[in-house]
Amino acid sequence: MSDVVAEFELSFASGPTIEGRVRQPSDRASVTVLFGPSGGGKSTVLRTLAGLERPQRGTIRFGDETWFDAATRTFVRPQQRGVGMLFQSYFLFPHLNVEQNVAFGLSKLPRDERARRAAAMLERFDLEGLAARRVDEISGGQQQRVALARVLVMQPRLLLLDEPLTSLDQPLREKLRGELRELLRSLGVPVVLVTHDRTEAIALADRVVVLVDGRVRQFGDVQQVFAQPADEVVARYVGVEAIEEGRVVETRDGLAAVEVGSAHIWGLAQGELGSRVFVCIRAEDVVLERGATGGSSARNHLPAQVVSVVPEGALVRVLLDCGFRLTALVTRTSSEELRLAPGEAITAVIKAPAVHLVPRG
Amino acid sequence: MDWPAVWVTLKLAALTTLVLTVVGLPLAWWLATTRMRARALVEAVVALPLVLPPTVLGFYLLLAASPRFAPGSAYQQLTGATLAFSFEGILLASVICNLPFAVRPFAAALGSVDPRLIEASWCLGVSRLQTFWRVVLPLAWPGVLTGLVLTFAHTVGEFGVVLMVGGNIPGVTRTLALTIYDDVQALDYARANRTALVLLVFAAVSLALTYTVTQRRPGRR
Amino acid sequence: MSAKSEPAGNSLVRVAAAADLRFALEEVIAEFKKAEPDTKIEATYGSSGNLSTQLANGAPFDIFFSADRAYAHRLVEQQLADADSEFVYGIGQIVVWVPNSSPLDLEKVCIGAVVDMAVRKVAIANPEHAPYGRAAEAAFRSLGVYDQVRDRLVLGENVAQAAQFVESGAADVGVIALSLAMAPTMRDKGRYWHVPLDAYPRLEQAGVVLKAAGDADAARRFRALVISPRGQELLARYGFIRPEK
Repeated sequence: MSDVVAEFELSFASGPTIEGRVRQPSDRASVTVLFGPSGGGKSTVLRTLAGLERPQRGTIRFGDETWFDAATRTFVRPQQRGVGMLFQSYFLFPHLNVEQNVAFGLSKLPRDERARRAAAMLERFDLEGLAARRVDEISGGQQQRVALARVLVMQPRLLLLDEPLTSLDQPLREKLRGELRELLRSLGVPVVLVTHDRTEAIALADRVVVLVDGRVRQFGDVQQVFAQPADEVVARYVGVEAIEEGRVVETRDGLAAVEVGSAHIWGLAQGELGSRVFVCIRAEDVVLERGATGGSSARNHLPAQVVSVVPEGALVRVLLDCGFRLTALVTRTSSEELRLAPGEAITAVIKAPAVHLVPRG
Repeated sequence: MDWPAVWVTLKLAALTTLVLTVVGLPLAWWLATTRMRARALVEAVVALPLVLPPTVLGFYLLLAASPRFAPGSAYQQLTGATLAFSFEGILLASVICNLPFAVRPFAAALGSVDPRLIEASWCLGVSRLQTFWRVVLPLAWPGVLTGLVLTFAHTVGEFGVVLMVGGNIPGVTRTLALTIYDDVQALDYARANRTALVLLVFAAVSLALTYTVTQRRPGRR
Repeated sequence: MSAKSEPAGNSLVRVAAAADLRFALEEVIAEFKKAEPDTKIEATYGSSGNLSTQLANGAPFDIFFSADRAYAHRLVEQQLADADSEFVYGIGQIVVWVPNSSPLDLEKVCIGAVVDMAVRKVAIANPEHAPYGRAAEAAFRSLGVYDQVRDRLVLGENVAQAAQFVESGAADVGVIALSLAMAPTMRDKGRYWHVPLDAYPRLEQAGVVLKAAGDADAARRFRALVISPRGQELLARYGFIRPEK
């Protein structure tokens, strides 16, 4: 198992510079997700790993192979890297049928070997009946399977996926998300995947690299990145739903009290007294209660008024005003039991460790 | 019908098309895919024969081909024959004059193939050359065919440059277009008319066939 | 030395001839073929100036018939032909020609035809490189009509094209070679007036055999026929005057 170590800088003639830093541990196959907003450079980083772009500075190594080194002007062409690249729009060959697409990269093999491998891959992805069909005659989901088959039949050493689920409809996307996770697990090959969808990142990633405006803002294990964004830019993109500006008005025992709007909220200490911070609270971490209970470990009990209640599948997104805007995500059952409706008074309960304070600027 | 002239004309058109395919396709591919700044300059040079009067081209080519100047004398030393007033001379002139008729449709067709398809092929381990054969050409063939037919038809009709460089030698450089010119001067209008009709019908048929064949496919991209 | 010698028994004579000979020379060629059926003769016609320039640039002809002495002689000066191969084969003449449909009474107005009010275009060969065009221009000057006619001139690339211009009606009047006016295709289509011989320099038409000729012997045999009594007789039918040697 080889690891990917890439650190490079790629400048475009039109101006922007994209910095790529990807480190994939070699002890086990893992999925590294490049996460960030559209246009942030994620696809560029992926293309550079594939050898489709050539950076100005830096190095890209795969195991003990050097794929790119600006200093020695080394550059290995994509054909030699053994990388499987899945493009966002698949880019299946329109003039070939499904089977020919899947077998495309196998041309150097003898004919029967080629046919055998292609057939095996078609079967694995449930495409046998479609072998003779042209690619514009099959559905989006089928096209994705063909694209995967085409790439995987080459037995790549590194798999690169560019927004693999983005071009699919929502219901299909959710279904395939799980299947994709299983598939990537089963491959035993390192995977680098690009997405701007938070749920996808959480679902598929072992490690996350957050890329915003061409710069790597944070990288680490998925829970670490999503629970503890390094700065407010990251926080915004990893989807911490409440990001409010406040001022530290008290610090005690490793905790800080922050004045946010007209509320006081306790979080883990960050920054000195009087400093400005962003308060980041995930909706999942907000518990709603009616009335006071006898003691609670949660430091924060905020009286709030329900502003709106919006169903989201099995959950309900509740917008509250507790002196500042706060979003809570609760189950529908709970919402009905609590009789949540706009105008109702409710208490928002949040543990201090769940209140993430991010120093301002 | 002046059969030697028919033969000269067909030979000239076929060889011009062949040379321009071999030379023009790689050039067109470079034009379609390069990011170098020199591209604009090369495009301008390729388009030059379109805007220059045939007499300008004929004049410079005649000079270059004459044994009095370097290219012509080099040719003469190599082959023992003059470049001017020979079939090889008008072939060279024809290739230069038809460069834009071949290269521009080629480049447009090759450039219309989505670059991501090419990249997908590379990432599957297929070399650049193989990718050209297996992905680009099959998708670009209508434009390539159009370029070939335009070149062939245009060569059949080429007059001014062929006359200047070729000298209207019967059986060698006298093409059908030139025979019409001769027949008119000899006041043999009937013969001129027959030849002209043949050329007209040929041009119309070849263009109509090309456009029919290339339009039957669904549009690419 | 020549680049393309024909194998024996497959003689080829490539003739470059002034445009005024377009019809006259064909008769001589036909006569030559009677005597030598196996020898091929290919003729290319054009203005003497153009042809001599092409020859100077290596055009592959064996024998050149100019419409004047100067162009032929130039080839000798340029070492492309031997001085002793130079020969004069006839004296040419120019005429004023109008199609049958023209209302002009040539016998009455003579050169005045070219400046008649109803005449818009007058066709001549291009004086820059055609001796017949130069002769026409000289005649205009000496007969005092040049200033009036110059705006109406239409220049043919050679004298045969000038004849075609006036024959087709594109021009109203043409000053062309007598040999063309007397040709079967022109003869019945119009009428003409001889321009006085003293109005323009003599069109002494000369030729040369090229040094680079393929089958020089065949070329010389053809030349011999042209200047022989039989050849001269054929040329006389087209108005060529025998040269006094």
